[in-house]
Amino acid sequence: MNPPTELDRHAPLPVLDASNVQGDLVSLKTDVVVVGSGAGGATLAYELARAGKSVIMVEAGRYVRSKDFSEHLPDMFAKTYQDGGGQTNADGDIMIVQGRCVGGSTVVNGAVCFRTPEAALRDWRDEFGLVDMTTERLAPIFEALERRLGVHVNGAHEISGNSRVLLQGCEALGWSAHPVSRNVKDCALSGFCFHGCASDRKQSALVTHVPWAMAHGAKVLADTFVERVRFEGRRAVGITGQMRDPFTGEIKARVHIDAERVVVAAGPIQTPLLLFRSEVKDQGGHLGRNLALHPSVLITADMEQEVMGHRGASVGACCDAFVEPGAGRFLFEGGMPSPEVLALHLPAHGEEHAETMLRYPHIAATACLIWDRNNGSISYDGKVKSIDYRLGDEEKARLRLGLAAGARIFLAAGARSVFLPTPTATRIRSPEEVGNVISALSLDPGTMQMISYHPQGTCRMGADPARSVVGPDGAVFGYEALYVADASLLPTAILLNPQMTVYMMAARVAARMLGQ
Amino acid sequence: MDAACAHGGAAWVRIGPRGLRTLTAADASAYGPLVSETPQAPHDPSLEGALRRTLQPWTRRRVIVGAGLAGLTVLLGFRACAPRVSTEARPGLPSLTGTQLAIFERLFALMIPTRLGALVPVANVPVLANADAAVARLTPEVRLLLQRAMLAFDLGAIVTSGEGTRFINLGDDAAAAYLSQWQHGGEIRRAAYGGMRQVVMLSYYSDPAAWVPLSYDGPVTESRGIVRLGHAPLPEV
Ligand SMILES: Cc1cc2nc3c(=O)[nH]c(=O)nc-3n(C[C@H](O)[C@H](O)[C@H](O)COP(=O)(O)OP(=O)(O)OC[C@H]3O[C@@H](n4cnc5c(N)ncnc54)[C@H](O)[C@@H]3O)c2cc1C
Repeated sequence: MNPPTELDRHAPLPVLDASNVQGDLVSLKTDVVVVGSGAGGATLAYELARAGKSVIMVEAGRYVRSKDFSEHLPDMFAKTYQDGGGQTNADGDIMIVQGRCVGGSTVVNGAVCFRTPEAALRDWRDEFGLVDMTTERLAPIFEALERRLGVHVNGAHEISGNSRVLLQGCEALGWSAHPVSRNVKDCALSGFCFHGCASDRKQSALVTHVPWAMAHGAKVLADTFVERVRFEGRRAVGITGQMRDPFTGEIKARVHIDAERVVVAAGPIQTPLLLFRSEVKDQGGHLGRNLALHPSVLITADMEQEVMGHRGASVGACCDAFVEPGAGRFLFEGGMPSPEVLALHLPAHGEEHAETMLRYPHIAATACLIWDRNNGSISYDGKVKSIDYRLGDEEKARLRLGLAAGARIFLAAGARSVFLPTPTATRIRSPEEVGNVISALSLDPGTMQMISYHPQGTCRMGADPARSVVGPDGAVFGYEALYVADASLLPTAILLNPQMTVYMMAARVAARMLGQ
Repeated sequence: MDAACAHGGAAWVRIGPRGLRTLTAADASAYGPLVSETPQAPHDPSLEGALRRTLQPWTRRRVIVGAGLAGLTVLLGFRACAPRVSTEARPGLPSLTGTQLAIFERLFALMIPTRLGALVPVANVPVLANADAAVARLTPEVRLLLQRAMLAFDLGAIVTSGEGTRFINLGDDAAAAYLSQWQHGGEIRRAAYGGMRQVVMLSYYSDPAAWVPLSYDGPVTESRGIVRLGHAPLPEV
């Protein structure tokens, strides 16, 4: 095993992409090819590379350097988000955001870090036979990851005005709320986590696991969409893909990689799609099913006091009073949008709209995220994906509770008005109105603006091939040398933000691949 | 109310799927797959996605849409409803049709009223240029959806505004009342309203010229001289 060669921290990574590829065929051979360079793919690639394996990460999105992070959302959507930020469920009422760039969703995420909650681990052990997934046994993996990635509880200076409103409201109501942990080092408080951290303080895969894996010899191909996993019989032997110019769409090179083992870590929507395209069939018919979206709504409020919500860390605090089973199972996290996004959450147009927009310095916002059952699915007709997901009655009931609690938090903190994200914004002015307004909402498709930041669960892990797609070691049942290592593994939804869980699962899969 | 106009409008509303072209899956596929699994084309996918979402009822249903709408309205006597404002295409704004420009001009004034003086006047923000640039980056399919929704919005006023004329000809109060009808109307009208509103809000509020009265700082890393840290050093664990 060769010692790592530390890369120049400020030089571009030596990524092969459409701008520098030579010839029209890239043909490579490696121990392990990893599809996707996000939370799962990059973590696994680093673990394998530092154990001496030759690794190639293949990434569909662009290699965008932080110096090109413009802090302008429409531009960053186009550069770094799946479908340019336009991905939705089939009904079109839930925007499903995912990163699509070297580093994947970690580049654009809110940096909030939670260990996997015990309630989820208990289900995974009891229902899916993942017997070694106990809080105690996973603790050393989380500890190592947290040290590597600079995870810490936000200090006082990382609590923005927006998060302070959340904390104040919860304190007035006696509801549990506190600063969140984040994987950020020396936060510059720019407030642009979701646009990509332009000063490399967020410890996304772009500045951690990807360069670290490369320091251990891993290679990265960007602009390269993997079309198929190749098989000999039931053994995965490599991948084929296309490298395209991201600006013109022109194919620059065909990509053909032979590998001893193939790991798919393309995220919970794209992983099943790639496996469908590769004609992978699972015994229980669960591939692409059991999708949870962990849907969220943005609740906004016009406060008496000036909040300047866009200044400071993107996410400072959370309210976890309702997280546990039996307590409602929803969660609040602060997060203030830029004006063009906020405008679509406030009264629709005209004088009322203008007056409310002028209150921008007084506006506070919080996302309410709700726990959901794994009732969605991904399908593919050979050309077009479909993400079929609707709120069930249970999720609707939970959402009503969440909207009511969110309104109460802001009103308790002194809000003049609270706005619920119906298409043209529903206004609540007093605690007395909350019940009536919320019970009058239909919550039928198209009546609420929702966002999913945390899709998960489409290739679930478990001990029983009849109920799961992937075994406890990360290998796809019924195939050899084919693994999954991303958010699609999560057997049931976790209510808390999932990135740490994805890192942990990928690290475990890597350990199993290394025979540990 | 002008009889020919009323008849024309009513005919359009009633003929519906039989008399006018409807948008079918075949139409849509002529412009390429709805969401291709191949790498993204060089369009502006953010507005594209938002509009695709909002205008979805216009694709999902067999909606009255008019590639033939304009022609038909002429046949039915729309000439009597000639625009009272310019519907000429404008140099420097190649992507919006003349009618769209006229509609957007009214919409900006109605949706973001700046006469109270506190918001930056719409005239001081390059809203039409921004809208034109945004529309230029849409796929042909979504661009056409938006165009059709806007045309239906404009012409629908002949029948339902009570003034017997197009939206772009309406006085301020009638135009505001008509816009509110679409905001609170059925699914199809709400979708058209939502799509137009998205373009209007994006074109105004994403422009730095509009940010000062909002106290929104915009990008800060360069202006504050925040130092880039580069890749993190190799970890010990
Ligand atoms: C805006 C946003 C905010 C979030 N905030 C938080 C937060 O604060 N805390 C938290 O815990 N989690 C957060 N998340 C979620 C978290 O980032 C994800 O759960 C996690 O990154 C998922 O990891 P993954 O490996 O499954 O997928 P990703 O990290 O999304 O990586 C998948 C990669 O695979 C690539 N890919 C897809 N298809 C192909 C193909 N065919 N060929 C090649 N490459 C392909 C994609 O381009 C992508 O780069 C957020 C996510 C988003 C989008």
